[in-house]
Amino acid sequence: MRRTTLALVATSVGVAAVVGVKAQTAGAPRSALAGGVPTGDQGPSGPETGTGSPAPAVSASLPSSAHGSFTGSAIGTQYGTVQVRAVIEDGKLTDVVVLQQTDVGARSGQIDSFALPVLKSEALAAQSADIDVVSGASYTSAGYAQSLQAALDAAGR
Amino acid sequence: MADVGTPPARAARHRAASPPPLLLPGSGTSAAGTMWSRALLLVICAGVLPVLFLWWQNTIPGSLDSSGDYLAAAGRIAGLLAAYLLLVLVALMARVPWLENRVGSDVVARYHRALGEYTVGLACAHAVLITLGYALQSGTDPVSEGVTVLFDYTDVWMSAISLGLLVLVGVVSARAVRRKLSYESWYHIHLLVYVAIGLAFAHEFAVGAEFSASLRNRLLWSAMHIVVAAAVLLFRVALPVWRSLRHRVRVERVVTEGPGVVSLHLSGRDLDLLGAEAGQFMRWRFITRGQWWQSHPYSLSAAPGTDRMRITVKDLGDSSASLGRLHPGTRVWFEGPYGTFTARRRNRARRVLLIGAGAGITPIRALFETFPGTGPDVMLIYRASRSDDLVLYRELEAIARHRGFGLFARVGPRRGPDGDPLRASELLKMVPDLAQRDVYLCGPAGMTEATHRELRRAGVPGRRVHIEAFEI
Repeated sequence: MRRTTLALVATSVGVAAVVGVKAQTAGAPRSALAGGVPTGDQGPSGPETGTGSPAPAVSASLPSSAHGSFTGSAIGTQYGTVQVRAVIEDGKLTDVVVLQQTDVGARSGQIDSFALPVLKSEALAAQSADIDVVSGASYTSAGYAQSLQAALDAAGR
Repeated sequence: MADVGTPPARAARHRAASPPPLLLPGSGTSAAGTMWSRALLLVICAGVLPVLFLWWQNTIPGSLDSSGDYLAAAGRIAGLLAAYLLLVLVALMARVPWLENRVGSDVVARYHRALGEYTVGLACAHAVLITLGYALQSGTDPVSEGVTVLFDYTDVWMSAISLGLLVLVGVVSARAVRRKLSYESWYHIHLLVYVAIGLAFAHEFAVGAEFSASLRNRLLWSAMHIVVAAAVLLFRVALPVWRSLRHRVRVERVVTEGPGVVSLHLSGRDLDLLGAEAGQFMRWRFITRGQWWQSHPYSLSAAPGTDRMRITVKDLGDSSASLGRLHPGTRVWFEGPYGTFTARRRNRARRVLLIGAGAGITPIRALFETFPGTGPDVMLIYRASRSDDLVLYRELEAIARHRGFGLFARVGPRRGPDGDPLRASELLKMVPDLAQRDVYLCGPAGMTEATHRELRRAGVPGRRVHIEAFEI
C-alpha cells in the first residue's frame, strides 16, 4: 500500500512534468486563426472564397456597403466539420450562425455548448475572425475562426 | 507452489483468519530469474511510451492553456495508462509459458499484485481529474459536471460501473480483507476484472479523443486487446483443455505418507511430451463432485515419467472434498507444467545443496532424485518441527543410499535466530563447502527468508540461492 502510494505520487510528478513540457511547446498560439490546428477545407459549400488555411490577413473593417448573410467554408477538423454564417448589416457583423459543429466523440457536444457562445461574443466584439482559442475547445475554435474568416472575405468582396 | 498446505477452500473454511497460501512458485533470487524479471519490467515500462505518445500526438498547440486543460490532460493520461496497465495485468496472469517458466510464477504474481493496486489508483485519479478538468473548462461545478459526464456522454456510465468493479477487486485483494475471504470468493470476484475491461473499453473509443478521431489508434488499441484476449484463451483455456484431453490423466492410487499427507499417483499417456521437469508444479483439477470447479497448484513430488506422475499433498482428510478420498480412476485436468525451480537454474560445474521444509520437500524430493552426480555432489537437508512431519523420508534415504548423496534431517522447533537448527554455523557443520554450492531452498515463506539470511551469512552468494516459497 505504501509503495503504491509512493508510485502514484511519483506518477503524478511525472505526468505533471509531461503535461508541463507539452504546454511549453504547445501552449503558444492563442489566436484561433493562427494555425497549429490541423484542419482541412471541406470544399466550397458557401461562396467560393476563403480557404481553411490560416489567413493572417484579417479584414479589419468591412465595406459599409456589405449587407446580408454570407456562408463560410466548411472546415473539417478531426472532431467533425465546423461551418458558420456571418450576418452583416451595413458593414457591421451582427450575428454568427453555426451551421455545422463538431460531432465526433462524446465530448464534442459539451465542448461546443460552452465554446460556441464564447466564440460568437468574441467575434462580435472583435468584428472579425481574429479571436482567441477557447480553452478546451481548440478544434472548434480553429474551425469557427477559419469558417468565419471565409464568410467575411466573401462579404468584403 | 504446491500448497502442500490444505486446499484453499478447506483452509478458508476452517481457519477464517489465515488465508490459504497463494502458492506462488518461482524464481526467487536466481540470476537467470532476475534477468528475465528485469526484462519483463523493462517491457512493461517501455509500453508506457507509446501510450504517452498517443496523448502527446493528439494534443495540439493552444489546447493546454488553463488549469482545466491541465487537469483534463492529466486525467486523460491517467486513463490511458490505467487502460494499458489493465491489459498488462491480464497478460501477466495469462499463464504464458515464458512468464511462468522463465520469469517465474511468483515474480509475475508479485508484479500483478503491485501493479493492480497502482492501476486501481490510476483509474480513480482518471475519473476525478477528468471531472474537475471538464468542470473548469465549461465553467460548471464538479458535481453537476460529473452528472453530465456520467449520463450525457456516450458509454461513460458503463465505465463508471467498470471503475466500481475495479475498486471492488482492489478492496477484496487488500491484505486485510483478503484474509477474511475464502479463496473462491476472492477468485470469483477477481474474474470481474474481465467485465470491467469490457465495460471500460466502450467509453475509450466514444469519449477518448485519442481514439475517436484516429482510426489508426483505434486499430492499434483494439489489436492490443485482441492479442491479450487471445493469450488468455490460448494459455488458460485451450492449451489446458487440449492437454487434459490428450494425456488422459487419472488418479491411479492414493497413498497415505504420514499424518494428513497423501501422495496421489497419477497415470496418463505420453506425459513425456509435456516436458515437465523435477521441481515444477502443475495446476490440478480433480473431476469429482465438489472439486471439479477449483484448481490447485501442487508440485511434482517425483521425477515425471512417460505414463506416471506423482504429487504429495497435505490433506486433513475429514471432508468430502478431501484429496485423500479421491477414488482411483478419477479424471484429472491440469495446467502446466510451470515453474523455474528446476535443475536448469544451477551452474552445472557446481555441487548442489537442497534444503526443504514442510510442503517444500515435494519439489526438493523430485530434484534429489534427478540431479546428476554421485556422492557429495548433492546434499539434502530436511527440516521439520516434529519427526512425524518428515514425510517421504524413507524414499529420500533410499535415493541417498543408492546414489551416495548426503542426507540430513533437522527436527525441532525454531527458537529465535540463535536456536535455528539451520543457522549458519550448523549449516557449515553439515556442509563445509557450502559457499561453493548452488543452493535450492523450498519451504514456508518465513522459513525460506530466515534460511536465506543464514545462507548468506555462511558465505553463499545471493545469486546462487534458488528459492521457492509459499507466499500469502
